[in-house]
Amino acid sequence: MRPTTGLLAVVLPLLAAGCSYSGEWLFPEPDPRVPGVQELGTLEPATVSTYEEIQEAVHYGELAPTGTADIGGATFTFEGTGGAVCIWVDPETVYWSQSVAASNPQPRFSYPDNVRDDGDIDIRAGLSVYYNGSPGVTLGDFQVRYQDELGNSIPVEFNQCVITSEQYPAGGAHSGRAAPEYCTLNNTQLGTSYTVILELFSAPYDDNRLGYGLLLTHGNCENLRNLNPTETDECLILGESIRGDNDHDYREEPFIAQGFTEVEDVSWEGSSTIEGLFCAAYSSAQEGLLEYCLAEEEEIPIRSDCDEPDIRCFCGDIADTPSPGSR
Amino acid sequence: MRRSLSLALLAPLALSACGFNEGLIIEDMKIRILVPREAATRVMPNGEEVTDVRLIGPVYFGFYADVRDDIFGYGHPSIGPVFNNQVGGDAYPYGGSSLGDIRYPCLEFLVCKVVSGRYVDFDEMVEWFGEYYEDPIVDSRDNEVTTGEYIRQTCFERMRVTGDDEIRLTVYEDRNEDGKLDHLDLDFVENADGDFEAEAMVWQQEFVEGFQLWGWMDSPGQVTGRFNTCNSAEGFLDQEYDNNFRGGRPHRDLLNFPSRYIRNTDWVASEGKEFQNWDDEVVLVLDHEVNQ
Repeated sequence: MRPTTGLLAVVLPLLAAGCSYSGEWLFPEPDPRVPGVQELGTLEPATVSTYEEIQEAVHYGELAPTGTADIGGATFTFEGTGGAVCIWVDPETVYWSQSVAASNPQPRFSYPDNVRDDGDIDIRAGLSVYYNGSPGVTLGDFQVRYQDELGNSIPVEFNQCVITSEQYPAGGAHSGRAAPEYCTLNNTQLGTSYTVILELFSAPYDDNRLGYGLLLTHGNCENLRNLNPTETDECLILGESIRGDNDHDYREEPFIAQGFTEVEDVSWEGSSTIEGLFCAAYSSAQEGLLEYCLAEEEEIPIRSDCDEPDIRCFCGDIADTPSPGSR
Repeated sequence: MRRSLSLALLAPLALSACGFNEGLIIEDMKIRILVPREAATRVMPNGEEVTDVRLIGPVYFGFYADVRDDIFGYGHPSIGPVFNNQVGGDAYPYGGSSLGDIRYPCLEFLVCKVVSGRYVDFDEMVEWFGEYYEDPIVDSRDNEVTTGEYIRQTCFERMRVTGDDEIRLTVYEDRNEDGKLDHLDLDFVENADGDFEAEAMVWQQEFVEGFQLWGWMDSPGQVTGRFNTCNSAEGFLDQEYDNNFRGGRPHRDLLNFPSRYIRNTDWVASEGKEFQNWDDEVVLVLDHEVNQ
């Protein structure tokens, strides 16, 4: 046999096999009790006037990957109230950048965060009539085609959840890892159905299940912020770090808990504490967060133990961080 | 021999790919902009009526599907659907540019008040604000700046540069090739009719037959000379010595949402100029003063 023929004999079957290649091994396994695309049903906006009422109005659940390249997450609907409606979601847990400045470092953030327990959820919302996904099957968007006067087609996203930033002054911004994300839908049409998408942008590396707290309330999100005594958005919703080893089946019931009192039973121990310390450190120069991390290191000196299923570390590995002044 | 034969076959194929025509018309499009004399004429805070190129603010222009005057009461590109009261209609430009850039002006006092291509030298800035606005330029310690050279040297120091061509706020190239750097080398030059004309380029613009050129001029504020298309929260960060300010830069959505920024005393083109070919000779005339 000539060498070229031999090479072809090896390459051709490989190429043919490539046609049926799915690449699924690249994606995390789906969790049978946490569907990759969830339909949470129709929610009623809550009326809240105190911080305590906010705490009890939170819906708690979990999201998990689809196991394929398809984007995962959840959707729910609500009926327009004729006024403003706030959508607020807080994915687990907290995230901070470690302070590694050579001069004038921030001691309260000098210990690293555990980046393996955090995830990210992006919100989009709009009139259900524009939503092109299949609830519970695939996530979609609110995109329609607009034809300009020259007949050219322009995709327009009818997403009414407008989040702005310096980089995106016209909207299109999102909060980052573990940070709460929220938006107000002003002047919703009375009785008209709205769809909200909670897109799972990233799941925690440690268990591939992202706990979250969700608020749907009457009025502007600024009202909620004003009612928050901690002055830090992260602490409006507490306890969203839900233990992934619970036996809740999200196919039957979309939420695992209603209100902070209920979620405490299924949250990771200490998760609300770390949120509180983070918020205190964020809004003042308090060093409680650093002290917590030092204590945690003392309690769990072998940091690889943090990957054990029944152990949760909220702080990272100080040995695996840049030296001060590193660039 | 076999390798040489393969190369002989492959080389012409590879070369022929260089001549592949994608069918896209992407060109550097040259346009002319005309600003009427009235737009560069104003009674200044010192009471004096002046006609001066320094009253011509940044001019923003773009290519749009259509221009109409029944949306905002002045010529404005058609806008897409307004589906949310938090977001106005997007004009969906095909592209565009500006003539006169808002840049870091080296002194906090001058942030959002200075546009490139309007000053022959830095002395003209000192004169403009001190004499006509009766609001002398001050440095970071509130000391009055009396010479343009002070601003120039501040720029050199802050920006770590050594020439006006790197600061790019004043005249630095002999555009008319008369051997002098003067007002004839600014962006806008007075024509025989007393109006002001400029030439501008839109680099690497995809041409769409029938699209229309439209634009507007952001006039300087009456009292301070500030431009409202400038975002003072962005731009070059100056934190040297006792400074702590941003140098300013244009807002990012000026061509998509012009109506957000157009104010009274700004000048707009009342109609769009349609292109049938990419090299059509088109003059954008900013002929309408917004006054609502």
